[in-house]
Amino acid sequence: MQIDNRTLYIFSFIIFLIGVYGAITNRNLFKILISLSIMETALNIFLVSLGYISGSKPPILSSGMKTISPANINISDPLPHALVLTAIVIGVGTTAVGVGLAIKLFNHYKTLNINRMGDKDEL
Amino acid sequence: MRETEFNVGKFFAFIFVAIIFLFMISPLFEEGSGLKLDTTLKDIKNRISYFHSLKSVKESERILQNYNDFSRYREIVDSAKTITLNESKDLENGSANLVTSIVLDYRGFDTLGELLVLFISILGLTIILSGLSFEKFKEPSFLQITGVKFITPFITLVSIYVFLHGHLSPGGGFPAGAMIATAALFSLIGYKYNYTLSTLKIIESKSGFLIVFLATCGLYFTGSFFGNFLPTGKVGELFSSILILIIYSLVGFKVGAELSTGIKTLYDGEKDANRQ
Repeated sequence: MQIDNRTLYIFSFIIFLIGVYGAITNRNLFKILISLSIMETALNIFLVSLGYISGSKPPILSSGMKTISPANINISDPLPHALVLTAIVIGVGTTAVGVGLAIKLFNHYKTLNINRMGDKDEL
Repeated sequence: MRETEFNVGKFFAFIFVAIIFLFMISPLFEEGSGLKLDTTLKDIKNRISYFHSLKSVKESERILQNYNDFSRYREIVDSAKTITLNESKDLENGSANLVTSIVLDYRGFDTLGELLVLFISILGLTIILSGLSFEKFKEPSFLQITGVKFITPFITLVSIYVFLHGHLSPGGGFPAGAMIATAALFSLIGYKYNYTLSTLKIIESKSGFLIVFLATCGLYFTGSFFGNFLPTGKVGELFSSILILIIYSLVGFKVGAELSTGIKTLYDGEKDANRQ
């Protein structure tokens, strides 16, 4: 079965918008961080699918694809994969800092609900 | 009362998201006039990573310098040599995984920046959480501790396999580092093996220094930063591209030590009466 690039783009848009919906409806700080991670994943899927050529094989020489030559080359673009690897690691870093800030806020306000964070003095 | 307000908000959020979705997919179905990128890029020969894939970057650069323009692009494309698994020898790099050859050879500087970003984010995490103490979430049960004790050696073994085979199969230093950090967390929980932050600091700084040292050696021997100056044997063997093997192992140790530092900082922040 061959998948069109457009289908992959639409899937990544849907995942991205699930993340947007979660980020604007949730009030819990950790759920917002999870939504941001989902948006990041959708962006990574979009970037990888830009390098996908429909009907192509993964760019690894293995027993399934022993030889590549100018006449016989049927692999997907490896460059977006390499760039997405960078994006994933940066995503881990930002998530770690976000979780640290959430822990610090929870320690100060004793709640993770962003609506109740301002009124600590009234409690 | 509060419940109904919340549902109204969710409804409007859904409509907002649906409108954005329509805007996002509309360019995909447009029949505009002009150049169609999608049809030309269907062929990998029109993409830059064609040269990375056939490991002919230096060769095609050399040919291009003779012509000084792109008029014979197709000729340069067809001049690349065939690569066969377990047969081709002494190529630009001996990595069977073409993504690894881009990540650590052609775009090695990118990976160095990536490591720096991860280092800075963990530094930020430790600064944010320094001196903080918070309630312990839950004491691990007997079953959890036994299971963790059982699975930790296997996780360590798999992580070593993954970073040694980074140039042959999917994986590499970064997933292996994440696995090493998981093993470190499990040994904190299960074996109560309380490693110190200074040990991690030594591993992290030494491996980071060695990566930069090897990259500078490439600058000295081949004239480019992260240049491949060690022998690249046959494609597909374990000791095929030794520089990538060494650098990916060091990346694995560095990332593992960095993520373990984050985990250890979080673990030390917990209030625990049983700990000294």
